[in-house]
Amino acid sequence: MPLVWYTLRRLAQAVVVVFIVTVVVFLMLHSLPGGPARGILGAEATPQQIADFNHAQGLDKPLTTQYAIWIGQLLRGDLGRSYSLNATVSSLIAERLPKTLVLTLLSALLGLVVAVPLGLLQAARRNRLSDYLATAVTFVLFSTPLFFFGLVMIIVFSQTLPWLPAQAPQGQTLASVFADPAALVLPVLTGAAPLVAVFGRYMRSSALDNLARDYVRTARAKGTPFRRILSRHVLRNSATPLITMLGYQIPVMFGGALVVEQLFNYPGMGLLFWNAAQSSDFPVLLGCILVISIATVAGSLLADLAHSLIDPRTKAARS
Amino acid sequence: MTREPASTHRPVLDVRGVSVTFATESGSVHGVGPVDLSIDPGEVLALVGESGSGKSTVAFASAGLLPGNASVSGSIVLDGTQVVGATERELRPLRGSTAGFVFQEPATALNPLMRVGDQIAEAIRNHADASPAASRARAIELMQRVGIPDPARRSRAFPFELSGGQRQRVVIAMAIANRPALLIADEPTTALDVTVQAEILELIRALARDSGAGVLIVTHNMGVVADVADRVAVMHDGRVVETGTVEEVLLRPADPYTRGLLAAVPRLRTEPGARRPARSAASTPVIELAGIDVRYGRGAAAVRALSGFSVTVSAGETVGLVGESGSGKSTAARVALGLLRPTAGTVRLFGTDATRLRGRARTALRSDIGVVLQDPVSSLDSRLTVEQCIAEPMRVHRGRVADPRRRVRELLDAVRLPQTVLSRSPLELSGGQRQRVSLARALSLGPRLLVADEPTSALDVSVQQSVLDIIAETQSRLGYALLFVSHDLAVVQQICDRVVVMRHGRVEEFGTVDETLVSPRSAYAQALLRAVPVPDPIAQRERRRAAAEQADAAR
Repeated sequence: MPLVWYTLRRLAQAVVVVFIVTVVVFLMLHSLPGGPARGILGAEATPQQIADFNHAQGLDKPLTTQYAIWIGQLLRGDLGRSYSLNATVSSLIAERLPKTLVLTLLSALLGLVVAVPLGLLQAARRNRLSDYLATAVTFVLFSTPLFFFGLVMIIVFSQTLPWLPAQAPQGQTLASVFADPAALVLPVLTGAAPLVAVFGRYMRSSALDNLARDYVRTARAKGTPFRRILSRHVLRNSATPLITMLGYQIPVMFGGALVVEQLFNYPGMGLLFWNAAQSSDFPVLLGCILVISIATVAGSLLADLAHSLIDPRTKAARS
Repeated sequence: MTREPASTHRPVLDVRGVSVTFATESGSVHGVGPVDLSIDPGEVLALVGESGSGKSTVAFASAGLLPGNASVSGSIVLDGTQVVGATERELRPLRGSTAGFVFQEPATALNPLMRVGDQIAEAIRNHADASPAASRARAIELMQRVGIPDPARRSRAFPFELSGGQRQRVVIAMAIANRPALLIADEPTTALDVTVQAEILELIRALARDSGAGVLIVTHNMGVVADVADRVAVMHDGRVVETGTVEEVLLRPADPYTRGLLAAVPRLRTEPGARRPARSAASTPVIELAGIDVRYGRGAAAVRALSGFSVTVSAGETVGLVGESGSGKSTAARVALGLLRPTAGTVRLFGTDATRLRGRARTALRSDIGVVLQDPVSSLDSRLTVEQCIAEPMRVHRGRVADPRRRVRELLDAVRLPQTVLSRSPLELSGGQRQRVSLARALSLGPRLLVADEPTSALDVSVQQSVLDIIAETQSRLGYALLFVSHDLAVVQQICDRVVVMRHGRVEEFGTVDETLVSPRSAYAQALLRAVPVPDPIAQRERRRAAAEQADAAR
């Protein structure tokens, strides 16, 4: 079973990568001037209070010791306690992560559902008016900063036309998110916009590339109607690379979630990360980065595995 | 689109006064024409010519398959239907039904992500109201018909799981799925080995004979023409210069262009010939490969690209490496060049053990080796000028040549290129000119060994001869040893002193040309020779009959 070996080898690599990420992030956080105490205790804190805080949190120990403590706790499943929120980091992540997953998955799904047919049709109608229009729209989406695009969405669809709420669903549980689907519309649309642009451009060039291939000429020569050439031959061949791309887009989507959650006040990982960064809440920041780096590594691994399931050739090439 | 009443003797393809022009950014370019052709049912017409003669354009125009920037005038009647001016909607029912297509590259002609059985079934369902199950069953029948063993299992295979010959059979199965009146085959065997080529040509011949379909076969290979064609049309510069029966055109050509073309075709020698004088056989070999193994991977899954391969080449001598694709001939060339470290065995270059050398000594040793590769397009950097291309080895090995600028000009004379090409990009040159630039670059340091990997395979025959002449001339002047890799046995017979016949990474035969390529001992080399079609229809018929008898006797 070469696929099993391959997966195990990639998993081992993934563990190493995540370990290196934690070391680098740990070093970077702790080399910030001043440390977290000032951010947590406020500008009025006395030097004594700061020293007490540092001692209580173990921040006066050597860096290597601090890291060893953190990683030791991590291996026992303990991510520490938040400095500013009265909760453990793992409980915070457990509460926030599913919400962010819902947001990013819906955005990615919407992005693909729009981008794949759009790119395919653009390629089929290359250099016609509809192609130029779609290109113009995707370029606008691509080059507009996400927060600006989100603001425009709020102004248009929430303020000018009072159709949709400007605030994402609130509440602690995942069920509460789905209880108010109208409130999800704007965040998901905003999150999907850059993905439509990226995937759409990619799909268009990939489909154009495939339309020029010999097998398309063969399909024409046996009398296959053009629509069927698109749907049966070109679609699958040009969408397969998107799967890999989707896996590698995970950090980008998390970056998008950071902006979208902030903008729509959506209580997910992005907002948690944002607030933790504002208040120098090191344990929460480290926990979030750990989750994001695991998701990134897992994303590229899953993409490669999915690719090998879809494309029969990769199986042979690897074994 | 008008459908004329069927007559008893109507050509399946009737091309009258057809011209094709291509719209490009710099205005319209005349491609082809005017061309007249006709093919009767059951007849095989070969359309021959060199690259750029317009032969493929005519073939694709016959079913309206030209790219969008082409415009066609004149009349093309395909089994009673006018093709010129017809819309896509009118043409689609003809494609794959009235006319079936076979293409040059079986490696890319099939959808890589679709099972081959489904691709054949699609050809059926495009034209008939068949259920998926019925069309799949019919696809398996067709695979059987085109000679694919175990068709039920193979129909579930993806294209990459089949050999090149089997893929081409799949393409043929699609082409004949709806019993076409005309089969159009564009260089159907160019990408295949000779033994596979012989099988595919036999299949096309049998299909035409059994079904009564007309066949339009486009090829540059006169041996293929002699093997399959009833009639021949020779194209040159977009026009048909000569049409006639295969005997007339190949044996008694009337047109001067046809005569020149046929004269340039290297002929396979079947009688022991005047052997080239054995040169300096006593001198120490320039290169000596002994007991070379090259393995990829390890354990039971390892691929043995070379096993126990040995060859020596002396100064002034030419040794040919021949064999079918995958036989290891290019791998052997890479070992000789020092680009590939063998798993076992020794490489002695100019008397030194090259496998042990490292660093500067290795680099110095390499400066005595020149190389010419197959692809004239990708083996030269198109961002450099021709002068920079030729001078590059002298820049790498600085100090070897006193006056590089003068040397470049001498080399140009040696390969018979005008000085005016120096400042141009390789992209502006023809394929033959580019190969001469490659040769000039290879000779720039005055090598003691030249490795040429299929140097003329991508060239037209008329150009091939001039490149071979230049190689022979510079070799007799400079005295380098030449390792010549080729799949073309006639060319190898012509220019080599000794030959290594390879198969599955092993040496099958090693000896003089007469020993290896005229009267070989091994069954493999004999089969290889028998499969080469000769450009003489009468002789080729005789060879085919003899080959069939041999095959029967072997059974």
